[in-house]
Amino acid sequence: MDRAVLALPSPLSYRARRMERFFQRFGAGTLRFVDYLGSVGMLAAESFRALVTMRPRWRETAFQTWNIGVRSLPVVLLTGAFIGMVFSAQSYFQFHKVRMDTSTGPAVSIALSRELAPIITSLMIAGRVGAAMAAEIGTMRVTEQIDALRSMAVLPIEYLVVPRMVAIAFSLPLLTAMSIAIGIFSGYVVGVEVLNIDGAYFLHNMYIYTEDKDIYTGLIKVFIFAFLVVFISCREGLHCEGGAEGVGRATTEAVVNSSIAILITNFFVTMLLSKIIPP
Amino acid sequence: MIEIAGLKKSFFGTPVLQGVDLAVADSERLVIIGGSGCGKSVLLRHIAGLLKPDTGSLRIDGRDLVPLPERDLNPIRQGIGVLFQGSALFDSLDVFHNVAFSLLEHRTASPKEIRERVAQVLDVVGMTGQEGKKPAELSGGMRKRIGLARAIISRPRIMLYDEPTTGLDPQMADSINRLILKMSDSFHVTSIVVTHDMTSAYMVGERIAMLHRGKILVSGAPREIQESSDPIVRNFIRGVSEERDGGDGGEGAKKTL
Repeated sequence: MDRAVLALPSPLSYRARRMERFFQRFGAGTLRFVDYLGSVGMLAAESFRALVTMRPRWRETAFQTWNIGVRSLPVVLLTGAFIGMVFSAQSYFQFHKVRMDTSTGPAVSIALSRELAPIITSLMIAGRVGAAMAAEIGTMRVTEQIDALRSMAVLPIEYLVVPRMVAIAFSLPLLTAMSIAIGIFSGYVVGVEVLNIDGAYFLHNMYIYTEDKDIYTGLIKVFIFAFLVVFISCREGLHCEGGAEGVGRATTEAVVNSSIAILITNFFVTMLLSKIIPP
Repeated sequence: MIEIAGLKKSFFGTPVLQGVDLAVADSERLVIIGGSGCGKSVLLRHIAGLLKPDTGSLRIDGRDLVPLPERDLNPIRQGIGVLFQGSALFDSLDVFHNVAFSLLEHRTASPKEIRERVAQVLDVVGMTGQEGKKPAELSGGMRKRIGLARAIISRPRIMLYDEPTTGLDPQMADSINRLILKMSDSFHVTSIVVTHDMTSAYMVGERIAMLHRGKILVSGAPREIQESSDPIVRNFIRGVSEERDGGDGGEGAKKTL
């Protein structure tokens, strides 16, 4: 009986062990997170260094620009148009209650320029392009193609990452600008043609209240998001292990991590830009 | 001259190479044999400069590769050709661009010369006229040949072959072995072949080294390996598993069969 009692852990030691396990898990998770941030940061530093030191790869960069920019255009325009339409309708429903229907124009244009088009476009590119980057580079890694590159004295960062980085940094702001334009146009069509807002006042108020800084605030943000998508996605591909399952996991994590990074960074960049360029 | 001393490598706490000592002379054909998972390919990747050891040194022509950063390894890598186990052809490129890859990347030849050299190496590997095909359109043997053409186009001084005959039919394996011999005889390259195919090992090896439990267990001419009295070597070259071995180097098991 005494032995059985002695064998049982005391409530204090049990609690202490639970605390210990909690801190072990918390510590391990924190270390993994810091390690992950470090690997993305190192990839970014190496890529910017390579951009300066390597010879330009025009053909590969042009192909990636076509792949990332031109081939993403339909999906970006489609989402931009429908976001503009639904935002125009929702704004009208609220403004109509206080008889401010013509405020729909500036509401649509400012919201699209500052937040909606940059975020939606970046998320669409993270889904379409980030997934493709992680899958392609991940497959190259598990089939020894990355090792083949290295064995032929070609640095994977120079051959795979830098052309994609240049292409996305060039394409994403342009895609966002097109998304803003089509969103405003479709918002105008819904507001004026479907909901019967006065077209002249819709446009007049939009011109008065929308400023240049609303546009370039959005474009500065997507320029930063472009680097997040490319470095997170390429990092997932380059660290991919475990065959087809590993490629699938890398692809999923590339999209999820890029999307989370975009949303978190968006808040901090918005706050920072509001100090530099007051709204 | 390749000199490896005290090379150790672990993955996630599991030791794979546990102090490899090996020297390969210029123009020598060395075959490294050993069971699956014994670290043959890991050793080959160290020689190619694709992996860094935990400890030990690896010298090529007197220069230690271990402390060199990735960028500084590139001049050395340009003198090494690697035939990967799965060929590792670039899926997005056709045969011409796969084979010409290193020349196009390093711009070491004019476009005309590149076309001529691609045609020349494709002729060597018996793949003339396949320039426009994508890797997905090729059989396993054809992929190996294209992989070999890509490895030799830059005229390396050292050739590393990772399981060159694995997954090939006997005739195709024989053809690849002959190509390895041809490369060695015609261009006097130093060849290191990793394999567990003993037919291939006897055919191409001037010397055979056996890797066992992360160390070089034995090294010698093919005849010395065939006549080895070491039970581990005898069991391996005769294809006798440890369960069947009655302590007689596989003789009893052979009689039973």
